[in-house]
Formats: sequence, structure tokens, C-alpha cells
Amino acid sequence: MLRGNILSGAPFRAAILFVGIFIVILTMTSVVLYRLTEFSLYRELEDQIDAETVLFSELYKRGGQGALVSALRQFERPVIAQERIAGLFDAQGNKLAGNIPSAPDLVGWQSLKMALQRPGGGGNFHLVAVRLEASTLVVGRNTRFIDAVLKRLVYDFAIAGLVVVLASLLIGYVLSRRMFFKLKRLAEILSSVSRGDMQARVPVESANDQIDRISRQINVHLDRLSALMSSTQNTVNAIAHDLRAPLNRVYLLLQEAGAARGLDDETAGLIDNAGTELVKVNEIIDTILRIARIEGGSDLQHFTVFSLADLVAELAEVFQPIIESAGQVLSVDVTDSPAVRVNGDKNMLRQMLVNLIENAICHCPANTRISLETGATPQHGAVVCIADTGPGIGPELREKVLEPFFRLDASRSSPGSGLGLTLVKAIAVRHGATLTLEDNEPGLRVRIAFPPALSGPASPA
Amino acid sequence: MKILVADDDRSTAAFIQKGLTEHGHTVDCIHDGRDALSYCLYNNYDLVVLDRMMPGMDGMSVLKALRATNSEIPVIFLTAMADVDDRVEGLMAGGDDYLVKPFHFSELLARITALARRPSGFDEKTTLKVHDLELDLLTRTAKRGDSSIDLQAKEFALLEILMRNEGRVVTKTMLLEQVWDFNFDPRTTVVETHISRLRAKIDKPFDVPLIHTTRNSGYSLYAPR
Repeated sequence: MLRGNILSGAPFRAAILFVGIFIVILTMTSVVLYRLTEFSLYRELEDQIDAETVLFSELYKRGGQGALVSALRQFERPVIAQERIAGLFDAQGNKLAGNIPSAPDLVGWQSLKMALQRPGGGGNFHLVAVRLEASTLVVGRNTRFIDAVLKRLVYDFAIAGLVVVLASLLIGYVLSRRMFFKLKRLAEILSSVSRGDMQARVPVESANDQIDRISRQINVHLDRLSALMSSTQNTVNAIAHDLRAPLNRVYLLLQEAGAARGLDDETAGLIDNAGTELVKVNEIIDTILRIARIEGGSDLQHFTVFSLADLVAELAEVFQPIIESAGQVLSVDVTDSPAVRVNGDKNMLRQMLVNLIENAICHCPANTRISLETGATPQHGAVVCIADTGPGIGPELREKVLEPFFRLDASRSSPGSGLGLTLVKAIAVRHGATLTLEDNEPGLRVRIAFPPALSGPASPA
Repeated sequence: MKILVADDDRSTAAFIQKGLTEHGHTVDCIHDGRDALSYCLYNNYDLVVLDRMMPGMDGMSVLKALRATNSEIPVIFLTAMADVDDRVEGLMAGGDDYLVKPFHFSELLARITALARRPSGFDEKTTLKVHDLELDLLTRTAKRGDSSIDLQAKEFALLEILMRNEGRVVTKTMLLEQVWDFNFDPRTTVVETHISRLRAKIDKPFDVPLIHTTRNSGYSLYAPR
């Protein structure tokens, strides 16, 4: 996984491209150099052979065939036969002298493989055959030396190429690895920010490469984001305090008024109702503040790993009698296992589940079946489902009901502030969970899928 | 009981003072955090009602300073900060209870009464008894007279709180917090339903009812006088 990520990294791909281009250039250069070397070595050899041929021709012209034959006899001595060859043949191709067994078929320059009579003699020879009146003079040299040089040349090129290829791949891997870890750290920081850790900043190295520059830019944005969030938080707290203080005073005054002596029942009832309404106003403010705080929240200090199944079972026990007395039926399917563990704030999740269960109780008629289930996603995260067989929510409204103050009942006659599902959503998002409203055929099915508890929202998968 | 009320909102402090005085308590009011600390250190109060946001020194710092002097005086936080986290923070710092503004006076009174009679130190009682109702805290069983009563875990917890506060009002909010860990008001009748279930088990089959409803305030458990 890790190695795969490094090998698919940009620097390593660049290294592979470089290696490919290098191999093409190296091959072309080698071919040219090989040919040039071969050519010049043969030229030198031919110069030597030419000089010898001229010498033998001079000898023939001055001393006749006899002088040449006696000179060529020298070549029949074994010492010479390894490197140099020479021979004189008559018009019928019969050997007159020299260490060549037979005359070549053609006149002129040629390379031949030849076996000499001498032991150990033989090999590849470069030679020239010239006509001297009726007879043929052949002079040549063994090309063993040239072959060795050329072989060496090919070998050297191969070694150099191999070293460069390996070095490039290694450098590419190292660079890619460095970049990979930098990017990985960047991704980790960003995901911990998205989970609410506003203090996290990307480390910037002195290298000042593109990643460092992007990191610096990201940090600037994070600074601005956290400043914005803390100013929102401060505003929200200020509003809370400023609104609560007069609200509190009104509530106290109402209580004093209600406790006064000599009130008639009607007035006492009115004061009582005013108090109840005031408490509702306060609850709405509380919920708005709670949503704002959860959405802008950053600390994970109340997060623990616990069993979602236990929490659901506990709430099932609390609401069983209430569901029964509403004439509804509760079915519970929870089994505790490591798969249903979540990393979360138990108080928040309890409130979220209570909101959903109470929604089902309040919005469904008698004989509705309300079911609570826990399970696990294929990614090993816990899932909780709260489903009912009530009236359900049309597909076009399923997104809208999550918005603040949206209510299915437009007349707003039913109890509730229209903030319940907004709070549910905020809590789900805070836990990195996905909230989906589905058709239960009939009814509504609310499904909340959590990320795996072990990696949890605290570290990326 | 001698009670100190520390709240920078003078009308709140005066309201609390008036109400508590009517119920027979002696009450001092102060409006600054630093005063709160020195009043606590040099007077022998039985209980402190402490606002969290005060000039001079905030309630949390007062409480921390107080606990640092090994003072075990019961402290009820009174605050406009409603969040669960604030609550947890307040209780962790050594607060004994936490009440959010705006509050009903009966709620405050019930909590003060519950705290005042809380026995200091470790409670070694293993059985609770009211009239002919007996609760064994070790075996987690209940019986009334000779007949044993089968209770679920939460019913047992509910009954235990009522019995520990024998004769005192326990509010709905207190029950929600202590029995079910609900730090919010549910829309459905959670407390009423469970109280009526409990009544069906411990009161209905017998002649003398023990659980009594106090209108607009809560429940209390006591034997007929």
C-alpha cells in the first residue's frame, strides 16, 4: 500500500520517464561510437596491411616470384602465424608460399574466418588479395584485437547505462518517498482540522519547495478560519448571555407574581402559562446555541470509545413504556460486538438518539412499529437505524427536514421547535457519521453510519 | 441553614435571597467573585450558590480556590451556560450540582435541600427503609412488608434516589439527570411514565401510598404521618 503510493508518486514517474529517455539516447550514442571505433581500428589495420602489400609487391617487381616466395616462407614459421598471414598463389590457386591454406575466392578487401595449419592458428582475419601478374598475393591480420576492443566498448556502455538507470530509479524513489510523506502529513493535518481540531497546523520545512509554499498558504487559511470560528463562538456566547439575563429576570418576576397572595385562579393560570412559554423560548435558544457549539466545536475531550448497542438498549428500556402507552410497538435488534463500538461523546449521541426516537413516537399514530437496530458497515463502522411504519417523509423533503426551523407541518401546530433534526445532523457530522433518511416502505428509516471506532474520527483510515 | 448567594445579577440574587429566607434560611448576597471567595473563607456557610460569570473572579476560579483550601462546603453552580460540556466541567472542578438559568425557584430549593442533607463522607448504609418499604443496596432487591418486588435496574435507581431523599422533593430534572443521564428535557413523558410504572409496583398493591406528586415541581417519597 505504502510502497505502491510511493511508486505512483510524481517524482518516481519522472524518474522512470528520465530512465526511458536516457536509455534511448545511450543506445544511439553507443551505436555511433561503436561504428566510429570499429571504422578507425579497421582503417589502421588496413594501413598496416597496405604497407606490407606494397613491400611485397616491390619485392616481386625487383626480385621476381622467387624472391617473394622465399620472403613468404618466413610466414610459415609458427611464431608469426598467430597474428599475421600472407600467401602467394598461382593462377590455378595453388599455394606457392605463405601460411594461408587456400586463396580467397575474390580479389580485394575482405574479412574471413580461416583455419591455419598451425596448431592454435585460426580465427577471424582481415585481408586483402591483389593480383601480381598471373599470381595472387594475399596479406592479412588477425582481428582478435579489434574484436576485444569492441567487446570491451559494448561492455562499458552496458555498465554505465545500468549504473545510471539504477541511480535514477533510486533517486526517484527517495524523492517520491519524501514527497509522499510530506503530502501524507498534509492530508492528516487537513483531516484532523475537518474533524474540528482548529489548532492543527501544517509543518513548513526550510526547503521552500512547492509543498512548503502550499503548506504556508494552507496555514494562513487555517488561521483565518479559526479566527472566524472563534469570533462566531464569542458572538454566540455573548448573545446567549445577553439574551438569557433578561429572560431570567422575566422568569423570576413571573414566579414572584405567581407566588403573590390573593391571586384569582385565572390570573395564576395566565402567569403559569407565560412561564411555560418562556421556558420554551429558552429551550429554543439553548438548542440554537448547542447546534452552533457542536458545529463549531473543536475539542474531542469528551470522546470515548463505547458500545452503541449498549446505549441503544438502554434507551429502548427508557422508551419501551412510553411507546406502549402511545399504543405503538417497539422492536429492538441490538447485539454488542466490537463492530458496533463508536468513538464519540456519549451525552451528545444519547440526545441524538432520544430526538430520533421521540420524533417517531410523536409523529406516528397508534399501532406503528418503531424499531431500533444496530449493525456494522462494510468499512467496519457502527450503524444505528431508527425506523417506523408511520407516515414517512417524501423523498423531496428528506433534505429539507434537516434545515433549521423547517417543519413538515406548515401550520406549526405540532409541538417542537423544528430544530430537532438539525441538532441530530450537527451531532452526526461532529462524529464524522453519515445521516441518511430512507423510505422504510412504509414509514421513515433514519440511518446513521459511523466511521470505524478504532481509527475513529481521531485519525484517518 | 446559612447560605451564600454569589451572583452579579442583583435581581436574581435578591429573588433567591427572598425565597430562601421565606423557607427559613439565612442568606448573604454578594455580587463579585473575589468577595465570594473571602466570604466563604471567613464565614461558616453551610452551602454556596455560585454564578459562573462574575466580575472580579469567575465562579470556576472561586470554586477551584475554595477546593484548594480543602473546603468541602457544598457548591451549586448557577449559570447561563447551558451546554453539557460546561456542566461536566463544573462538576469535575468540584461543584456539587449545576443549575441553568432561567430556573424555577422550586428546582433550586429542591437541590439545596438534597445537598444540605447529603451525609458528609462515605455513606455506609446498605439498606434504605421507609415505612414498610425496604431497599437492599447490596443484593439490589426491594420488598414491601413481606412481599418482594421485582424491579428493573432503572426502576431500582429511581426508587433509590427517592428513598435517599425521603420527605424531600426530587424534581423531574434531577431525576432525568441522575437516573437516565439526560441533560436535556425530553419531549415525551419519560419521568411521569416511569414514576407511574414504579407506583404500580410499590404503591398500587398496598394500602398506604408512599410516592407523592408535588405539583409543578417533582416527586417525593414519605410515609404517612
